[in-house]
Amino acid sequence: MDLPIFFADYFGTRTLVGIIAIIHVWINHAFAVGMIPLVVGVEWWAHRTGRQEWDALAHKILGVCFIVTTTVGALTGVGIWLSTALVNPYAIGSLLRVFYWAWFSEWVVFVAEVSLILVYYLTWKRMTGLRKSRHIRIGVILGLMSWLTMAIIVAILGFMMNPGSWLEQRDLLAGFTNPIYLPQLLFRTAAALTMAGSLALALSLAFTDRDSPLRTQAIKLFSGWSLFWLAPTLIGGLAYHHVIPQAMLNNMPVAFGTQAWQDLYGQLVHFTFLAVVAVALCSLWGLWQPLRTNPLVWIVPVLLLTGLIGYFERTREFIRKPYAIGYYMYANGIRVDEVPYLVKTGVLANCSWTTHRRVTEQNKEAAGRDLFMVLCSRCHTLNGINSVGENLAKMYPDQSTWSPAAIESFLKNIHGARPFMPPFIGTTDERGALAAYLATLGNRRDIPPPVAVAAFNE
Amino acid sequence: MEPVIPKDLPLGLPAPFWLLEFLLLLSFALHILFVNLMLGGSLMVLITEIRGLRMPDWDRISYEIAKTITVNKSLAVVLGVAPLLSISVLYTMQFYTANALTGHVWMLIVPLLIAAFLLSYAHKYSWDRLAHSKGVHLTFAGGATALFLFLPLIFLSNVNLMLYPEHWRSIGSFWDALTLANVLPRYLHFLAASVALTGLFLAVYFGRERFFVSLELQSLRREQLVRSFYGIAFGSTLAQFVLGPLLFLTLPAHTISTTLVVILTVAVLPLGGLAVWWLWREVQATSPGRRLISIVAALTAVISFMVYARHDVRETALAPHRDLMKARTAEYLADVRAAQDYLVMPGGLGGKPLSVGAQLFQRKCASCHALDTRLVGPPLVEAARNYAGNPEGIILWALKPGRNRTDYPPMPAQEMARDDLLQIASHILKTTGNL
Repeated sequence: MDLPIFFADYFGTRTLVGIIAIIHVWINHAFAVGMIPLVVGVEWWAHRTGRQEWDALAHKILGVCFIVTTTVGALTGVGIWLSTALVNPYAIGSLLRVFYWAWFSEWVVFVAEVSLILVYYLTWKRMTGLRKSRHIRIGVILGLMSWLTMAIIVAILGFMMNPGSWLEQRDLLAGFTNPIYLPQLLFRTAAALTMAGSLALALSLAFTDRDSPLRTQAIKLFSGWSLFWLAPTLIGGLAYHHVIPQAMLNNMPVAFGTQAWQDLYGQLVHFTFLAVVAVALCSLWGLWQPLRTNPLVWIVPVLLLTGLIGYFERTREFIRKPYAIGYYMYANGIRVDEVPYLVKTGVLANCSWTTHRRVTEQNKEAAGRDLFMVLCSRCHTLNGINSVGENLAKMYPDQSTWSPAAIESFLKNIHGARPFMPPFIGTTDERGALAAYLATLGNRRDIPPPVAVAAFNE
Repeated sequence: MEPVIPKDLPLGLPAPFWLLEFLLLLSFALHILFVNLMLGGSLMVLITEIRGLRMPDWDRISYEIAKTITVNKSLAVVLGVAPLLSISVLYTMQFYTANALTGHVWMLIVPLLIAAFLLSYAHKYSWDRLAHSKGVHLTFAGGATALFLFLPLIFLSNVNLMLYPEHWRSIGSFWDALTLANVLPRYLHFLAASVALTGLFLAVYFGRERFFVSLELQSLRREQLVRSFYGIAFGSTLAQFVLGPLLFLTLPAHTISTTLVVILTVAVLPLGGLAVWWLWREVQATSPGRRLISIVAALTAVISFMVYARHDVRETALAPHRDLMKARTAEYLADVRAAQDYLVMPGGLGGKPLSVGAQLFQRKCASCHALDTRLVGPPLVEAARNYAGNPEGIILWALKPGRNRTDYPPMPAQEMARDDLLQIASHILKTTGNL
């Protein structure tokens, strides 16, 4: 309402955040949280047993992780801040006002993590001989820091699952004591370690000679590592899955029972088993037939586990609906306490960045377009992913019958029919205007598409 | 043009204003220091490698500078997060407005920085392999440098645009934001600072005797090299005496405070002049490096004052806006509170009291079903005909809907308590005269 609207028709603004976040989580888990313990472990073992070739292999694997985490990993992390500030600035701005110190502490750990990985990687070849054990200790601290950043972030995510605490105490402790915190942390930690094993295996195929004994041993070691962490991944995943409804029942009974969520939730178990079985088979294959392996086989477990984490993220996000911050702010950035006032005086009259300030007979459809931008465009596109056009076509298969009146009566109770949707917020005139605009999406193309940035021109 | 006065988020700051200001300035100073070294380093790598085509010593030096970029760029990014968080908290509405107005280019920061960093790595790690294809190798450095030169413009356009709410309505894109009065002078000032700091940093870096010996250069002597880096620092710091006033003169008048003028004339000018003088003496010295501590002290003071001066411009520009915003927010929140009892629920009922069944019907069914018109689903008068005197039939259907009409979308299952469904079914049959 008070900020210009960033709008990406087709991909949708949420997709932007989603893509950046998934890449970031994938790199964070597979290349950092899971991989550092594995690399440090190999380095320690190579040092104890005097196996130079293992030390060199660990260094090369770390090199890849170093490059990936300090480029794509670091920048997608910043990208989450940049994109959420564009997509839902009211929500991220509010969370920041309350959790500034949590994120600030996380940042301090993050600075330590980046400094340590620079030291750890860049001094690998210099800190040898007597200084080797000190180098290994740096690696251990680095591994702890990587894990700690994740543990703090998971608490912040957990807090968002516990909306009651936002209204009552606004205390991060609620994030740590949330029932989903420990299962989620266990699941992420174990999945990260498993993914790191698969990834290290794929990388060792690039860094070792065919038919060399080192390759055989590496494949066996990394397969065994993945297999070892698979059981905790499964336990963590199922525990997480088990506590999700519990957390949700406490917080958001309204979402429970909606078909879309049930589908998502039901599929989780299948997906978890599929991923675990696929990783298990690949790992067993590696142990049994180390020489007959194809790099692609090792990419599959990593992708499946990433997909699994992504799936959990989606379920977690879905539970928040129709809110961005439980009971406090709807997904479109309008606060619950504002609703009565906006219903009385209108959304447009209180906006700083719309083309029209009130609905008239003449501007009905164009004002409706402004309302779409303010109320719907945070989650919906016009013609792309999760578009209103597509959703309306599902409801009214014959486009010629799209009538403003029918759409308006749907909007009137949209939060009842679709519990994951916020209620329509605005005056009855505005509801009519939005319905009039939505009806034009079916068969009329004379209303120009919205521009991301608009100024009053009335 | 009229300034835009947004309503602020109705949440207090997480700490006293001064503390957040202090953290913003401190973390920003650290961040920008490494950004300067990253950008300046990248330029120096390019220039020294080109010089190295004729004189191999410079190629060796170029490689050593390239190695520092790896570290400096990582620290620049990680140190950038704290000022980003702090500015988002302190200037939420102004900063987010600027972000949204330049949105698409603002998001480009992520892929462009990734590309720049990957090019830097490709450049550093292919030094030996591409020793005989210098053209390709220099393309990596050139690409990274071009990106490093472009990216600050995105940040600058944002932190500049946020200062001018009176221009917000006329800004439609990043390119518009670039045309605002003093983006270009700010950019040149920043570039000169990057080169100056990098020159000083490299003078120290290559001035370390044991390190220099380990490079095993053929003809270049340490003093000679250090002097040339001092020369670069000297030249670019001297240039600031032109670029600085240019920036000052292009500042909109309402952003200039007495404090700013005092800081610039009493502290920055004399200290900067002192630094330039000492740098010049180093350039001429036979064994340079003796005035290093004085130079670093003077420049640290200058940078601290400049960081504060920059903040003073922001505060002078935005303090009145913040007050207007505060007043508008307070007024709005008072209205919001007053309206709390206007409606209990959006789309609330009002009018004559409804039966439980009618209320539930309104909430759960009315979006898709009306009495005698087609909405998403069929009109009730039509549908209820099949269930005359049979509410149980409606309940069973609602729990597990089939599909009777292919010209309608399928109905989703309604998970509700049986009692509620019975109320709804009775209501439907009653209103359609089928009870």
